[in-house]
Parts: sequence; structure tokens; C-alpha cells
Amino acid sequence: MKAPKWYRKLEQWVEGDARDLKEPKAHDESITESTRKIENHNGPSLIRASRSELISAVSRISAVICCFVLLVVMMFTVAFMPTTSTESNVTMNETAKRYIEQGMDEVGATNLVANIILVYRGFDTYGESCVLFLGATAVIMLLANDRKNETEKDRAAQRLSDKLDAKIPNQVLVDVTKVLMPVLLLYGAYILCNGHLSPGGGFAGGSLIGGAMILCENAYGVNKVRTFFGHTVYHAVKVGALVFYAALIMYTIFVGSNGLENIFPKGTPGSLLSAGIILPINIAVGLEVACTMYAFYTYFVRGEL
Amino acid sequence: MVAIEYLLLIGLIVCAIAVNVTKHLLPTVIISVTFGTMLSVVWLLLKAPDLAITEAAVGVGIETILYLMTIRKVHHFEGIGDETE
Amino acid sequence: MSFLQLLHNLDINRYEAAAVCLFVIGLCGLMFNRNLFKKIISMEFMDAAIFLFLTCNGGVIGHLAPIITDPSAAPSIEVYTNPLPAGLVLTGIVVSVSFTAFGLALTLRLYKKYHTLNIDEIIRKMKQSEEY
Repeated sequence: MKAPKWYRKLEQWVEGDARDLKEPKAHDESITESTRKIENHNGPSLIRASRSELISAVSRISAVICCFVLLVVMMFTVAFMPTTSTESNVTMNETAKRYIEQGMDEVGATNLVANIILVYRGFDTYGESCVLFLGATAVIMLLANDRKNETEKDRAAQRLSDKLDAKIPNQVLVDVTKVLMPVLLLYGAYILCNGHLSPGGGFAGGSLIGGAMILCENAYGVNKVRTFFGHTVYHAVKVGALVFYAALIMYTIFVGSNGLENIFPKGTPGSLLSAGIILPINIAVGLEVACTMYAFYTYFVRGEL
Repeated sequence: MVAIEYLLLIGLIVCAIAVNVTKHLLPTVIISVTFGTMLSVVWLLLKAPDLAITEAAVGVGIETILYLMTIRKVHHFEGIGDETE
Repeated sequence: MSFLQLLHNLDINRYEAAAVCLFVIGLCGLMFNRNLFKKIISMEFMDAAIFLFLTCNGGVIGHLAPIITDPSAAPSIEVYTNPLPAGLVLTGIVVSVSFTAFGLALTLRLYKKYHTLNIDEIIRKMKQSEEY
């Protein structure tokens, strides 16, 4: 299928400088192989090939039509929807009223979103932390260096690139890291601890701390990071944070359903030590997210912590 | 204000189309970064600062690193990385 | 309803309209791209579209972000936007990162075995290795 001229022009414009990079080898091979196959066989295979091409073209066109119909139908739905962003909005119902008007008195945090995700819907967020844990575990299973996943050539290439990195340190990167790393860590910790007072919370702060660790690994090499964040520390922090979170959520559900007194004080709204379980949960979630992000990076790069 | 909203929304759609037009992987990642940045401004306009901070840290920072690392690995397997020895 | 009325409604619901467009474009990319990497990025855009649709339903023009600045005054629904969609989307964003990492890891493993990111090539090589 030949692309029209405007499409190619658009493609060139989007690509910028990166034109005429050679196609991957496997592709060329496949074309010659398939043509050879067609030549070797007799007529029927040719007919079959053209028929399958026809079928694929028809299914492609019908898929495009389906997408267009879907777009039109959904656009009509949007046009007939009640107008949002106005005072008569249907989503401003009694649920929102309850969360806004009594959330601060019942839970104690001035950030109402933190109230919802960590207390009212705490079980939901706990399941989401478990999804993060499972994601990190699946990535480790898929990319860890083991007998089947690593050849001698890979190991030699990795060793070579490590040696090159150690021999020629990137001076710009090192200097920028010196300035940026403390700021990033401080900002991450601030967002983490102020999750119940200002925007942010565990997820944003945790990924900032994870990003700071990735920066440190890039600038100083993996051995520097291993001195304070190795296998043992990773597993201890990750599992410890998750178990701590689970215990807090279980305690809250147990106390709430039985009408007992919660030992976490609500404090005065607006001060740092307030809002009951939200501050410890935010710290636990932040540690979990930071560990997960760093694990994603390091398993993608070298296949081990 | 409405003009800014329209600019951002059209920019999002243009980014989404441009990803399908590119042929190479690095421009794709850059377009996805642009998309994430614009999306975080949209969250601010929609009065959801929590989402803006999280999108800027996660969607722009961490995901880009993952994409770039995947591209680097793919080239490394291809043998392009061997030329720098 | 006349066509102008339709356009007027779309103008008012512009965030939803943009979310719908993004969703369909992401779906098309997911179906028609042969490259696994681009498939994952298209999936990311579909995620973003759904988040946009959810969040814009919570906002009200002229209301403040759901963070109480003055704890002594009683908060009222007339002042703040709905915090529930933002809470739901916040967890969704982090789950989408988890999904991206998993998808990219699977892509890397496939690349290691078949030395291509093209899904057609991968399926063809799979069938070949099954035959012989």
C-alpha cells in the first residue's frame, strides 16, 4: 500500500533529522523469504496469498469504519450529556457534599483528596499498592538475570559499558546531580510529609525520591547506590512498608466497624501532626513507590539491583 | 482562558496523532513527554493539583526513563552499541 | 436539536469531546500500529483519555481546588470542586505506570527471542518455530 504524498511529508516533518535510518535487518530478510516461498510453490499459494491480503485489507477498512462510527456515536453522546462545569452539575451530588462538608471533621486532613483515597477508600488504595508490588515482581521475574535470560555476550557488554562509565565520568551530569539531588530529596520528603495539608502525597513524593535515586545511580554508578540500597534493604523496605500499610488499614477497619475509639488522634486541622493515620500511610506508600520506581529502572538497565 | 483550554486540548489530540505518524522510536518518546506535560497543565486547569503533581512526577519523569531504557536495550541487542568500544 | 445547538453543547463539554477523540485515536493506534512499543504508548493515551473524562466531570468553573485553606470556617459545597474523581484518577495514574513497565518488560523479552518489535514478524516466526 503506497502512502499518499501529504502523509509522507507529514512523516518527514515529524521525524526531523532522523530520516533515512536503515530498516532493521529482519524485515528485509522476511520480505525476500516470503517472496521466495511464493516463487517456489505453484499457483495456489499465490492465490491464497492474495486472498489473505484481500481479507486483511477488508478487515482493516472495516475496522477504520468501526472506529469512525464509534467516534461519531460518542461525540453525539457527549453533545447530549448534561453540561458539566456548571452549578447544576449532576456530579455535585450528596456524595460530594458529604466528603466536602464533613470530611475534615471526620478524618482531620485539610486536603480532601487525601481524605478520600487514604481513609474513605483506603481499602481501594491498599489494593492499588498491591498492584504496584505485583508489577515490580512481574518485572523482576521477566528481566532478572538468570540462566535462561542471560548469555555470556550480554554479560561482557554490560561489564564493558560499566567500565566505560567508570573511566569517563560525565562531568556535566555529576555537577548537576550535586546541585539537584539534595533539592529533589528534600522536595520529595516535603511532599510526602505534607500530603494531608497540601497537594501531593505518597505517590508523587515517592516517585520524586525514586527519581532522585535514579539520578544518583546515573551519575555515580551502581556501586555507590548499592552501599546504602542493596538487595536486603530493598526487600526489607518494600515488604515492611506494605505490611505496615496493611496493618494500619486492618486496624482502622476493625475499629471503625466495631465503634471503638481510634488511638490515632485527629489533632487540629492544618498542623503537621494531625489527621490520624494519613501521615504514616503516606510515608509507607511513598517508600513503597520509591522502591518500585528504582527497581523498575535498575531491572530494565542491568537486570539486578 | 477558554483559548488556553482549546490550545491545550488540541495539542493533546495532535500529540496522539503524531505518535502514529512517526517511524522511529525516539521522536515517539519525545511526543509522549509533550503529551504528559500538557496533560499536567490540564489537570491544573481542572482544579486537581494532586493529579498535576503526580502526573508531572510519574507520567513525565518515570515513564520517560522506562521508554528510553527500553530503546537503549533494543539498540544494544541490535549491536549498535558495540561501535563505541 | 439543530446543528448549531449540537456545536454549542460540544463547546460547553469540550473536555469530554477531547477525551472521546483521544480515546478513539488511541484505539486506532492500538489496532493499526505494527510496533509493540507504539502500541504501549497508544494504550497510555487511552488511559489518559479516560482520566480526562473522569476528572472533568468533577470540576465546576469558579470553584476552588479541594484543599481547605481556612480550617476555622465550615467548608461548603458551593466553594470547592468534587474531590472524588481526582481521588479515583490518582490511583489510576500509578497503576498505568505499573502496566507500562510490565508491557515494556514483556516487549523486551519478545525482542530478545525474536529480534524484532514488529508484531506480524513475531507471529510469523512463532508459527515457523512451531512447524519445524
